[in-house]
Amino acid sequence: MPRNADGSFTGAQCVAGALDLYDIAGKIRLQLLAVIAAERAR
Amino acid sequence: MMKLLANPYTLIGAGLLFLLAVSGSYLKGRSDGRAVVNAQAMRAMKKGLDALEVRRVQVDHLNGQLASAQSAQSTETREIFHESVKIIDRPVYRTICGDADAGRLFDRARTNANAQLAGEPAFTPARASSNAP
Repeated sequence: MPRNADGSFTGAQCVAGALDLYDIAGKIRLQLLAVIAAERAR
Repeated sequence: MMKLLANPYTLIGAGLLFLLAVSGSYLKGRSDGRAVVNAQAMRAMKKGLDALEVRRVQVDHLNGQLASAQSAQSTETREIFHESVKIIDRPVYRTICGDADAGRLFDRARTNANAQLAGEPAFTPARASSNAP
């Protein structure tokens, strides 16, 4: 989560952090789905 | 007839013929047996290779689906980030919406999310996105 030097953060930084988190979560989810599918195939 | 049987050369010849026949039968049987075993081994190997091929096709299919989904997701992420850059320029997003206490909570939540399994080496994921605004 991006933030200012004093630890506070603006709405813009909050939006950026939230979008970043969704991006990471989506990538992890896809990897997990692939692992589960591969395990089922095995 | 008795005279013929009494002849030692005839007996030796018959004995040699017998040995030749037995040896021939042994060699032929051995060759047939080897061919049978080879055929069984080939069938087993082909069965194994067929099973491997099926798994390979499944894994290739999965990899293709994963690559396709990742590509689509990545494209959409880029568009979302691009769109967000335009939005967060608005004045409303310049105001402070959280202080240092909230920042510390974020830090704790991040540490908690990165908790390791006991006995497992620490895992440091690469930054998932390089196109963040």
